[in-house]
Amino acid sequence: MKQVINETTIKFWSRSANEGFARVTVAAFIAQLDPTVEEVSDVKTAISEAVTNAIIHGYECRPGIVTIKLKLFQDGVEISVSDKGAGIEDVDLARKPLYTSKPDLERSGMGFTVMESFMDKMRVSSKPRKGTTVRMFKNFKSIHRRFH
Amino acid sequence: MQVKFYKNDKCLIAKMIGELDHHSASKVREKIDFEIVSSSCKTLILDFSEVAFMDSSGIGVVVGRYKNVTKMNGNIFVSNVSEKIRRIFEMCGVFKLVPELEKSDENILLAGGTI
Repeated sequence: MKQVINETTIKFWSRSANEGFARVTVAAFIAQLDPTVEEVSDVKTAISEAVTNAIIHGYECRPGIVTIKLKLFQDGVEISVSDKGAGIEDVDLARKPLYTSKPDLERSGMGFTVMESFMDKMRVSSKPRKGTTVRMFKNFKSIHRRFH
Repeated sequence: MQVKFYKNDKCLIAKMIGELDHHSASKVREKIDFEIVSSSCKTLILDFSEVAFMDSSGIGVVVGRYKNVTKMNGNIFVSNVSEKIRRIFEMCGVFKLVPELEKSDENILLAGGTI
């Protein structure tokens, strides 16, 4: 078992203004591991996608609470973004590049693809009408380089 | 996010300043679409030089403007795309629809020339 060296939970309303809040808060928390600018930027992009999904798909722009849990390890960060909203009927379909259930909103259907490509691991668990949790892990390779 | 417009009789440049995410996208869309309709320019250039952050919402903004501009028989380009933003555009082939404009070509268009 890897040792958790720090942990925090952030909860906020499902308002789109909080997408930026989530990005900078997560960036500030992971800064203590001293990742590179590129690694921070990758995490911010993935967070932005996950929080946007929670707001527009999970809560369908209605009021709700988005929860972000962050766990820091020696070599990276584990992030989970959860909502208690609509849930996803078919997770495999939702994860397909270019698939979107909301083409009318000019959504590109690339959210999960971006998360997958900017993070090292991503898992989606969802139950219709119960909500969705996206778990992601980002390994900070810059840390390995410093210690080895 | 702020959008600054520069135009001559041929082209309209929309320079976005700040963070382009789902929150800012709807305002950006509205402002650019208003300018497209109210100017008579046939060429739209989306300038990313001052975009500090962008997620996949930016794809929707670019592809949505592509649809609107081509409906009016116009052209659309993106310019000054950073490596971070390029990676997101390349994931779903945005450049196949909306080509990237070289700085030199942007200057020619701004000066009223054609490329």
